[in-house]
Amino acid sequence: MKCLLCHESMTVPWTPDTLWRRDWVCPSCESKLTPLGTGCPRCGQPNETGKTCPDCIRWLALGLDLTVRCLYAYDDAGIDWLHRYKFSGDVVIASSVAPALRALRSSGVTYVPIPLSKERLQTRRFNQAEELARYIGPTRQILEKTEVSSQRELGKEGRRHRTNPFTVPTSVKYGKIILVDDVYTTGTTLHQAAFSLRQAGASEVSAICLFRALNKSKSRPI
Amino acid sequence: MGELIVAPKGKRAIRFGICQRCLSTHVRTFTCHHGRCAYCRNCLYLGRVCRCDFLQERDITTPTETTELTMPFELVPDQKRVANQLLTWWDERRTGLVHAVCGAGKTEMTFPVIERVVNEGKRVLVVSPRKDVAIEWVERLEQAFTVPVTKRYGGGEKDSIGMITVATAPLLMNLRDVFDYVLVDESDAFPFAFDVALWNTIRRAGRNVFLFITATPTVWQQLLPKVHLSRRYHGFDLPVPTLVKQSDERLLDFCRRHALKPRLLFVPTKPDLERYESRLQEAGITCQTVSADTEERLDTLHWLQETKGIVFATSIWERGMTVRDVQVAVVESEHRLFSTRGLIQMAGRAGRKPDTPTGEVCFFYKERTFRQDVAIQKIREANRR
Repeated sequence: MKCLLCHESMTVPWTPDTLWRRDWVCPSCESKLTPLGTGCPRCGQPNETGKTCPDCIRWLALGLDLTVRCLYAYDDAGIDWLHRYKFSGDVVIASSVAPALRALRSSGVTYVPIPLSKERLQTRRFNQAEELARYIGPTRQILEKTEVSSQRELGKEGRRHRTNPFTVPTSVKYGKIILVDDVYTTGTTLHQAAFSLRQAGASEVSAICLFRALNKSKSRPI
Repeated sequence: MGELIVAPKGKRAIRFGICQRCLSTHVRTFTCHHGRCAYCRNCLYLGRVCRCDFLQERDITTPTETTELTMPFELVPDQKRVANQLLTWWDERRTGLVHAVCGAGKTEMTFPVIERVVNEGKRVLVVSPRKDVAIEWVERLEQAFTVPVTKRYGGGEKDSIGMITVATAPLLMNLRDVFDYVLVDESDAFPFAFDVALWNTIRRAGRNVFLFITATPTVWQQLLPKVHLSRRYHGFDLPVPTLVKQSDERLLDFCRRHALKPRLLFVPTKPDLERYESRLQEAGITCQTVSADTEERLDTLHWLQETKGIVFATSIWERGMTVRDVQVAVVESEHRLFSTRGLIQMAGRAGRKPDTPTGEVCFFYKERTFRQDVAIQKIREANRR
């Protein structure tokens, strides 16, 4: 069997799903992404003490209470992985993180991926968050996004002070909602989406994010 | 006739689970913005094609140019004979094989025929197995010819096609019937030799006139009309390898004996690199390693040349590299990854420059194999001819 990520041949371990699984990832590729250790309970920002980080305290002061479960650190390996997935469009490599995502599944929850605007969806052809959300559980798209400029060039302050692009077209009658996104950088996107959902009447909102950007590097604007 | 591009109209990019650009079946389904769709994983680096995309052939519109050739050196009579043979083959539009020993000046022999093809207004393609080899081709071609050389390998520009193109095979996937003359350099080397799909890529990109250039042709390539050249251009014999029973002392002895010359040691696999490196470091000798993962292979090459050090390499360096006065050893030469052709190529790294036409080549062995014997026999045969 060939590894899904590096295309090297590998031996498949003998497990119950050996017969069924199609995509296998070799151990060296599997260990490239670094899982987050102890950190802020709200956003996963790594720190030794496990206390709530200053950024989350700022969100709390604004009255936005959202717990985000992040899985991996957005370091060089994470950037490579996400670029390949999102911008080169190699969709199937999402199944390499599927076991970790599937472990987060809980019952009685609706998973809501962060939507793309129509124009962006036309060019990218797929919604990266929706593909991830499908691996976790039943998804339902109840958000809509209007076109805004890409956040990649914006700095920290510019990202924080943008208007909410998310709207909820129908009234929400779902009990528990979990938002799904690919990268958590400042958290503006997720907090805005959660705000819109709460306004539309959702009772309980939390979020799952694949990568957590680390505030370490000075070169890249966070 | 031309380059396949993604267009609003045309034929479907993926039909019956086959990508129409690279003709591979490595197609996977996913959810597109309109619903169920499929994309090709094999040619992602050319930009993704999806089943909902359409492909169109766009003609190559770059204007034809003429060129002038300045030879880097005068061809010796043997090389002239080969070059004239290539010219007659081109006039008859025939495919052929140049079987010339390592270091015979294969690159320069092809310059007259490239010049004639370009001046007739036809396009030339040079396919090389690896990027390093391609870069070397580009350097030499740019010195000799006045037309610009298109670089179609990882890191080069990929949109335009000039009169002379240097490429690695995977980046030719989206070309159809473009090149009138295709030179396949090192045509028995790793990526082509085991991959029929890459052969077909080259066949589709060309127009049925090929020239295979190698020192170690495969069996089926020898069926083509061929021209021999079994002398190096400086006229000296190929260095004949000696077989030495492998032990740590003998390996260290080899390294110490040529202390003032660059030494290149080939090992079969990547784990072996570290093993032998640490073994040498225990003995107090510093060395570097080169494998397919090494990114600064050219830096290591310069380091080897300048400091006259020791480099451990996997078979990535068995072709297309020249170091003045290098001494070659093949460690564990009985390993199954070292084929006869590989061993001949590695032995051919030694003594490639006219001022240092000899060098020592050692095959260290733990066991004797026919591959070692056949390699030595082939080299002797070439020396006799």
